[in-house]
Amino acid sequence: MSNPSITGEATEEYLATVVAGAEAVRKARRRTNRRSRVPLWATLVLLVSAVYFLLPLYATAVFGFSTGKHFTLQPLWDGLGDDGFHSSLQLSLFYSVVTTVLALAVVAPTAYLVELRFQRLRATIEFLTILPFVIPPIILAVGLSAMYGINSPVNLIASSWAPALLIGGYFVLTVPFVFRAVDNALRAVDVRTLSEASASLGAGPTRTFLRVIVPSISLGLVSGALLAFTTAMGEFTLAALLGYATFPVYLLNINGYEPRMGEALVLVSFLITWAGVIALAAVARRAPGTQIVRGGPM
Amino acid sequence: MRSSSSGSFAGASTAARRLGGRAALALLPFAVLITAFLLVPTLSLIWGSFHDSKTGAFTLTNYSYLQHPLDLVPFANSLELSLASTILGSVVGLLIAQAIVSSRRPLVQEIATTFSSVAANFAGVPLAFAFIATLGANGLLTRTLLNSGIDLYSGGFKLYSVLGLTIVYAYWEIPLMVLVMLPPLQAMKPSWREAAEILGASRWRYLRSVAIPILMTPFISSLLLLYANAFGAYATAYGLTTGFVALVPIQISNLINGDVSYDPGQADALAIGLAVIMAVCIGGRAILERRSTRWLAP
Repeated sequence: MSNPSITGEATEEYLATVVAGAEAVRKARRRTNRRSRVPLWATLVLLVSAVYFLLPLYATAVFGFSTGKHFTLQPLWDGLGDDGFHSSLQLSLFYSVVTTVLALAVVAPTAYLVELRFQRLRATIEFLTILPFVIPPIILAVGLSAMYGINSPVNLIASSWAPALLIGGYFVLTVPFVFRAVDNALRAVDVRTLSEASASLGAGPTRTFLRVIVPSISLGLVSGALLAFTTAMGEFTLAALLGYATFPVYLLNINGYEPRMGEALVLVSFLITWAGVIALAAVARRAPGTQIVRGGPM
Repeated sequence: MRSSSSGSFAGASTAARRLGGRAALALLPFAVLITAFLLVPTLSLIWGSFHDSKTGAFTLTNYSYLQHPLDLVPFANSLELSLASTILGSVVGLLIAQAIVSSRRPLVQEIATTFSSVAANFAGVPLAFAFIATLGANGLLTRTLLNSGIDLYSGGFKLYSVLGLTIVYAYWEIPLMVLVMLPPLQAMKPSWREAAEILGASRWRYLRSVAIPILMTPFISSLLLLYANAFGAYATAYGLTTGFVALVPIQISNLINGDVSYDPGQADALAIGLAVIMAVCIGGRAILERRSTRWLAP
C-alpha cells in the first residue's frame, strides 16, 4: 500500500473511498436520527413496568382509604392521630437525627484526616466501610445481641444505655454511605492546598476544618446526612430484633389488628422515602456522582 | 514552577505537622465506634458459633446444619429466591434501562431514574404490606382476577411462597438494576455503532463484538449486587410472612428471638454461613470493579 498522496491513480481511489465513507456515515446518522421517535418496544417496556410499580401503591391506597365499600380518608386520620404512631415516629426521628449527627461528626473529620495525613490508612478504612455490606443488618443484629444482649457479657439492652446500642448499630449501617459521600466531596476539592493556605494564615486545625473544609464539602455532607437519615428512618431489622419500638416496627404490629389504618400509614412511610429521594436527587443535580440509592440488603 | 511545588510540599507538611498528635486522637471516635459496634460483635459472633450456648464449651455442633439436608432447606430456599429474583430483576432491569436510554427523552429519563431510586429504597415492612394489599388472599389484583375467572390462590399461588417473594423482591431488584446499568449504557457512544455499521457489521455482530464485551463486566458485577441484596434481605420477608418461611435470615432471627427454637450458638453459625455468601458476592464485585473497562470511563 503506497501513500495515496504520491500517485494520482491512488488519490482517485482514495477519494472514492472517502466519498463512500462519508456516504456511509450520512446513512448511519440518518438511521440514528430516524430513531429519535421513542421506539415502540421502549414505550411498551416503560408502560408495563409503570403498571407493575404503581399497582401496589394504588392497591394500598384503595385498601387504606376505604371503609370496605366507600372512599374515606378516615383510616389515615385515625392513623395520624394514633398514640402508637406518634410515639414510634418520635422514637424513629430521635434515632435518625442522633445517628445522622453522630455519623457526620465522626466520619467527616476521619475522612478529612485520611485524605490529608493518613493515606496509608485508606485501604483499611475503605475495607471497614465495605464490611457492613458483607455483614447485613440481620447478621449485625445477631452479633450485637451476642455481645450486648440479655445473656451476654455486657448487657446494654437492659441498662439505661439501651439507646446507645441502636445508635451504635445504625452508625455502622450508615458509615459506608456517609464515608463515600464525604470522601467524594473531599476528592473534588484540593484538601492539601486549602489546609496549607489556611494554616499559613494562622488558623489551627480545628478552625481550618470547620471554616474552610466543611463549607467546601457541604453538598457531600448534605447527601451523606440524607442517606444516613433515610436509612435510620426505614430500618426495621436491628430495631425489631433488639427490641426497639420504632416506626417500621409499629407499622408491622398495627397491620396485625388495624389493617386499614396500617395500609394508610404505609403510604405515609412511602411519602417519607419519596421526600428523602427527591431531596437527594436535588443534591445530585448540583453535585453529579451523588449516590441516591443505598444498595445494601435491608 | 519547581520552587512553588516544593514550597507547597513544605507547606503541606507544615499543615500536617501543625495537627500534631491530636490528628491521631481525632481518629479515635471512629475507631472506638467501629470496634465496639462492628468488630467486637463480629468476633463475639464467630466465638459464639464455636461454643455451646449453654455450657460455653468448645463445639462444632452449631455447624451441624452443614451435614443435614433438612437443615439446609433455608439455604436452598434462599438460594432459589435470590437466583430467581436476580434473574427477573436483571433481565427486566436491563430492558428498562435500555428503554430509558433509547427513549432519548430527558424528561422520561428524569422521571424513571427518580422513581427507580424511590422504589429501590422502598423495601421492608411497607413494601410487604403494599403487596399484601395487591396480591394477598384479599388483595386488589387477586380479587380482580377472581372476578374475571382466574383464581390465583386455588391455582396454588401464595404470596408467602418463594414465587410470591420473588415478585415482591423484584420491586427493589429491578430499579436497582436500572440504576446500576444506566451509567454504562449511557456511556456507549453512538459513534461506536456508526463505526461498526460503516465497517459492514450487522446489528448482531455489533452486539457480539462491541456492546456485549464492554457491558459484560458491569453486568456481572450488578448480578452479584442483586444476588447479595436478595440473600441478605430480612425486613421484607419477615413483613410478608412474620417468620413462617424457611429462609436463612428468617431462620437466624427465629433462633435468637423464638421461644421454642432459641439457640444463639446455632444462630451465630448460620450467620457465619450467610456472611460467607455475602463476602463471595461483595468480594467478586470488588475484583470486577478494579478491572472495570476503560471504555466506560467518563
